[in-house]
Amino acid sequence: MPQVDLDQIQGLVLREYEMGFAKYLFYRWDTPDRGRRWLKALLAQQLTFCSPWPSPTPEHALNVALTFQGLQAFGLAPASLATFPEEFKSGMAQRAAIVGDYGESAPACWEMGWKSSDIHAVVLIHARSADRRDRFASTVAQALNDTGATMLFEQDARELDEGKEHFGFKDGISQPWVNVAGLHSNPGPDVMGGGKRTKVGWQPLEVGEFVLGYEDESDQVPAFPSPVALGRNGSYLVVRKLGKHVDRFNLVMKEQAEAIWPGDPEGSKRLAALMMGRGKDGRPVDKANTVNDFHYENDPSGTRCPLGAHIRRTNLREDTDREGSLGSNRHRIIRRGLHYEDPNAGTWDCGSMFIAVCASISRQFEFLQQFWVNDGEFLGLDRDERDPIIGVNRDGRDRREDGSHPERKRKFTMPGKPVPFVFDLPEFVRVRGGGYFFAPGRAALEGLANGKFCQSRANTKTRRVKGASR
Amino acid sequence: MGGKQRGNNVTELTCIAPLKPGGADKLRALFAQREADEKQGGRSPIEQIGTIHYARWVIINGDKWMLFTSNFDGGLADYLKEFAERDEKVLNAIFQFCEGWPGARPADGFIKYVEDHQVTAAYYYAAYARYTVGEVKRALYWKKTTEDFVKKLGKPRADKDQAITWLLQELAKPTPWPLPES
Repeated sequence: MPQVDLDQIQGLVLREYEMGFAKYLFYRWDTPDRGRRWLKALLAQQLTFCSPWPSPTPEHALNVALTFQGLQAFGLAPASLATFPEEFKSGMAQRAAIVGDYGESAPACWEMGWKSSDIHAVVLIHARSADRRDRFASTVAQALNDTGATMLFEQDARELDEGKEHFGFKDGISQPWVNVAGLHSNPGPDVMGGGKRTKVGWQPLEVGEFVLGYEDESDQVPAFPSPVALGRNGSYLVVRKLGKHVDRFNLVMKEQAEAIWPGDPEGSKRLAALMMGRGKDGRPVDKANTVNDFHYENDPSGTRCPLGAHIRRTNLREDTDREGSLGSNRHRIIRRGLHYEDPNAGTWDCGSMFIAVCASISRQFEFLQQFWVNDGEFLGLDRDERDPIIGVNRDGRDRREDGSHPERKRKFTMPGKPVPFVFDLPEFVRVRGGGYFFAPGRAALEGLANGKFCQSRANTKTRRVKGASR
Repeated sequence: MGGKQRGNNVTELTCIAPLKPGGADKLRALFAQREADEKQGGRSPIEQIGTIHYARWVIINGDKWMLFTSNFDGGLADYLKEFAERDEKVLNAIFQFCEGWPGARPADGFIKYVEDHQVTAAYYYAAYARYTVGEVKRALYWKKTTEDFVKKLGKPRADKDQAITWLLQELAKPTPWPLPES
């Protein structure tokens, strides 16, 4: 197993907190000095890293991640800023065409706080109770208040009853199994099923798929932001607020199921399960006795689990010879989100605060969105067969003169069912906002707080002298 | 990045790279082998990338240059990344005979190489520019399946209900390729 600096990597990246309550605070600052003061004050509150927890385990956890604007606002040297990947520099809103955030999910329709490009940082607070979270959050907010930085807005999230999400499905069952000693003692089959499938069974994914500065599934250490102390042990967080239309979902399931299995009271439940690939209790549609130790090798045409089911298209569980599925290990994400409920926010007033952890936003999250969620061709199905649960009803190709995109409703195919198609699915999930963040390692955070990685005049001079002497 | 696009979908790539001394003959031998293999029923490795309509390699200017053109769905950057990820061996087998070839992976070096040798078309036409390779194959599969269905109905004492059930289930299958003989 590779040597991994657990005490350098932020806890949220690799560690399952099992804390059901979260608060996310969004900040900006105007000068590098204020940014440094803010970060110093935050570090004084004890950030949580991946190192093994003492016993008893902590009641709360604290993490931080920065946008590209945030890094700029620390006065980071241009040469260093240039080493960050394009998609991170652009930010989620600028990448809407790739992510598929069209129509009502387009950045122009996002909630106020998310719409602006002002966000410099998110502070992520997790706790075991709402009370504990609120008390700790107010301590943190107070400490940060005096630094001259501005809190833009905040967002609460929590685990719902029985670990379900708002459509009623059990959530967070499958996570990537990562090759790090001490993360999972004696991993059971359901942990291992989150790994990669090989000839000798499930194997853990290399840590470089999720943390910068380590070997990934290509057996190489991919390029990461420089200098090393800034990039290494960092990770990218994709944060998205996904509103869900629960009434619409339930109604559509009922209506469509009636056309497929007339008069069957179990129909809508069955249809929802086929679209998810799991029943609401979390069981895969064709396996009764395991929740994560399974694959689709014996179901190539999707008669048991439809090819386009949410959990099948977002986690192929193997490389098949169909184009688009080779290298499936290269597009995995760790999910760290919880669920929100905004009273008085209208139809899309509840949903998920989706957080994905990855080492490359473009290769992992964006690829997944573009090709696996919002396309059907890689399955050998139609292009407008997109993810039945989270897919979007627009296609970048249908661009009108004015640059907008007409709606093109999704279809869903279920070979072997009495009526094997569902047409004209409306959207069930709408993006309310989101951003790309970088969660630096400990050394990087301490460096940023102390004005390292910036190009001061003195620095430039020293470099020039060195260059000249060569 | 260069390359013209039509119908918001199909993109052209023209890449002209210098051949190493003796490279032209080796390249011809490589492609002759490929053609012979495909005559025996072998599948082209290009199929691994489901977005390529056409691709060709031409040796030009007295064996000094290799011309590579391709027509594919989507943007050039995605296409090249996928090519490097999926068909690393194939790319290396061909481009190893070109001067300055950095290898297909890491993809960044390969992308830079293609960009450096790419020439944008002065004019680009495509008959069904909006439609992807996947859609064309799917449409042909549905056409064939529908024909088979109509043939079933045309048989004496055809069971209509059975034929309809057959049609629905066939249409729901992922596109088989190449299309099966009927």
